[in-house]
Amino acid sequence: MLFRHYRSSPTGAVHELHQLYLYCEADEVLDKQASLKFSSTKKPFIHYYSQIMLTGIADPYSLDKYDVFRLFNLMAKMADRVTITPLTDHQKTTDNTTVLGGHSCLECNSDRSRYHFTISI
Amino acid sequence: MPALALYVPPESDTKLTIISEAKALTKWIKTLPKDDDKATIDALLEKLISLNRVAMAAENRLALLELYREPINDFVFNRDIGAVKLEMSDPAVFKAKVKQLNTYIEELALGYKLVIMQAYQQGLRPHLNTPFLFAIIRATESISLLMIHAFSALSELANRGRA
Repeated sequence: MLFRHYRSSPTGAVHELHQLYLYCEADEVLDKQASLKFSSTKKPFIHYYSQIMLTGIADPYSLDKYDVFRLFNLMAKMADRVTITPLTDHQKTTDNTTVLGGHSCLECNSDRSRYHFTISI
Repeated sequence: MPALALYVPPESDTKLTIISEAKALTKWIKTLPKDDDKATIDALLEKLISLNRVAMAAENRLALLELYREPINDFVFNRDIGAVKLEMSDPAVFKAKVKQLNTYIEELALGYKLVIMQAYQQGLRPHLNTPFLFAIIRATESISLLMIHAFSALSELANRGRA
């Protein structure tokens, strides 16, 4: 009998992305592209960051083989619609799920590839 | 500014053979076998690992990394289905292939992270230094790809019975 399992995200990878996010945010280059004489980026940092975070939130571990590539490409179309903001004091302290509904929380000091996801019912 | 502590490989103590000019690297890549992914990745990987363990000016490193980055889409997203099925029919071959590709993408990310940490330690800022920003964007893309490849790399293992 055979069974399958998914490999987990490489250790430290998510945390490194979070570090880069915080750094780019502080330097106000989240949505800036870069062009050198031999090559240019097609998208800014925030596009790639949002794309992979959306993919992580969408629970790639539950997908069939190779569907994760389709999911990743689908998230590229959604990435530019993502808004990332710090939690408000109200959101930090509330236990009302409607306040947090529809939001995903990124813990930028963590190495988590999946995130606390709260949705109102 | 927030701190950056990205993992980068240490410089090698021994002398490594690298191709340090983009033109020469382009020429060498053209000599690699187009119909043998494994041999091509092995050859590229050997040179890329060495590149990541020697000191080099940021723009020159980025120019070389762009050439190593070019075939990634073919290796990960545009693979021949028949070849993939053949690999998957033999778990040992499949596992070796997954590991090889993972290492390649990881080394690519390391290359870009070297440029980032070098610029960071020099006190440069991405909004004033294009190679720094370029490396950040490319590193993010590479790390994302590494994660996607990890998510997608299924292993098929023989079930040895439940404990």
